[in-house]
Amino acid sequence: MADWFQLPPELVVLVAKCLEARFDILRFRSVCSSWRSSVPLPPKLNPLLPTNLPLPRRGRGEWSLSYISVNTLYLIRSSRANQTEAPACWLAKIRDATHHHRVEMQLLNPPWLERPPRNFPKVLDLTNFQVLELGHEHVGHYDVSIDHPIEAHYATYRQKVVFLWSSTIDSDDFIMFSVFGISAVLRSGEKEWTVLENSVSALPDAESSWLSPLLFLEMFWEAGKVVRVRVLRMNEEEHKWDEMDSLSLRDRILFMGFHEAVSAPASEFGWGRGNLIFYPENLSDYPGFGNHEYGIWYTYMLVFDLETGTASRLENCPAYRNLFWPPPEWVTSSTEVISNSTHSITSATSKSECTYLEPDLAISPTANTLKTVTSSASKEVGTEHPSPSSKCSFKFCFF
Amino acid sequence: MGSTSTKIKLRTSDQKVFEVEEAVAVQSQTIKYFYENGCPGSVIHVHSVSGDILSKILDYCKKHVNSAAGKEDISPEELYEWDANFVKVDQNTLFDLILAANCLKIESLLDLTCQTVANMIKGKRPKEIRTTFNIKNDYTPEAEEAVRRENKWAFDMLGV
Repeated sequence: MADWFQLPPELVVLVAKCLEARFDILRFRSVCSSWRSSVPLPPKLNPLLPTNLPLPRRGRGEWSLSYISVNTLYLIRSSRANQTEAPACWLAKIRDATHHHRVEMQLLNPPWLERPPRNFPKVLDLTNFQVLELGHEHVGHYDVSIDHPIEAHYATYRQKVVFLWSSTIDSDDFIMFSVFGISAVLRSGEKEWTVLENSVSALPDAESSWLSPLLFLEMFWEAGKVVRVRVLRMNEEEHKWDEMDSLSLRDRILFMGFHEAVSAPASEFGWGRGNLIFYPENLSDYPGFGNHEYGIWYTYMLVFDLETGTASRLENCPAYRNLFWPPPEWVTSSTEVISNSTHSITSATSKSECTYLEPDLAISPTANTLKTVTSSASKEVGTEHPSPSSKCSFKFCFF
Repeated sequence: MGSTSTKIKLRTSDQKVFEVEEAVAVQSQTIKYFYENGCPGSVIHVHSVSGDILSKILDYCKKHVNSAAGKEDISPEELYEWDANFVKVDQNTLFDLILAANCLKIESLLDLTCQTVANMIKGKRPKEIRTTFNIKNDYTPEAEEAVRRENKWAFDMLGV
């Protein structure tokens, strides 16, 4: 048997460099002391980014970009004694600790809750679980102060920003797009945002840890329900979209949220199948400017089965019921539960928070026209604002 | 055509001698250096590599040289597939391939083998990685505690 302990340190470093997920690098460092000393602790996921985005004043509101947070969707798997048995799965969306506002790590599960429920364990020990990073979402947190004669009003809005890593190997270069009143880009190393003259009204969900090809998912809604789904795939050579057949996603599982579109290999879930799309019930139904919801945006999750063409509520599917919330017992039973009486889920600051669910995506009010789309987020990807009765939504994601 | 090309002689750690086409052999930066700076026609000693491993490595180099030179009609996807099958080997062989690719300075092979090891680590628990690679947990109790902390998520229940 090869003695991997004898692997020279320079090769240990090379192997670690091949690990893309931050959590995998943490795991790598947990193996033995020589691997730990060869590989430095990976930086936190929330880098300090310039916030000097010159936002235009709107009415009485003064707007500013407060910070950009990175949320990560993790697949947590139980390890089974019997290797042939499929592992149990749980999905956790985590916001890593940020430098801004001294925010500690937060659980954003289920996707529609912005606070962890009060009885959730304060510390989750992952030693005995397998952990896979499925994808990231970048969310801009915008502050607004509204000048009011009697009492000034403050609020925080959230809206996704699109974050693209350079495809060049060994490069940490990135480019970031923000559309919040204005369209702007930030390139790695730059200290200031650049405002784009050609305004973009919506951004593609082009983020994932799984690289290309670029996918385009079209969900057709009727009376608040998804009735049909069409999947297109970017043909990189011919720069056009090819429609995929009904089994096109047989080795993939997609997760749609308000700020993210993540695609994961079906094999990681051990269900023996793919062709599934998970999404919140009110994905297509978001309030526009000036009509935002305060407090918790509550909904339930659905799964669309591409093989049968039907959507079901997760609670009616025994296989996926505990995929998001409530977490399965094997998660909560292995952790340190802290009494819930000392923790409050209400905001401790004077700011009122509202979840601003901006359309992350280009959405067309007509169900039958496919808009011209491009993989480059700097170009126009769809300019029509959705109407409340819009029947379909367009989405992007990387595969 | 190929028969007229220059051959380089390589001798392995177990005294096996290989006669290799120049274009294939110089995929290794180490061999290239000795070839360009040594006496013409002399045998280059590859001390740290066994015959079995060198034979595999030469297969790899040949495939990539032929593909790049257009001698073999193979698409990038097919070559990727070929590479994936090439590293489907037992752990001892994989370990030897990494060491040899490093010693012979064949960058693409080193990337391929390191990525293969990384893929075997992805998503796994530390204990599973140790079992997979037969590595002992050698942490002191203090270091073990630090490791344990890194494997925990401590949530802020108040938020902002």
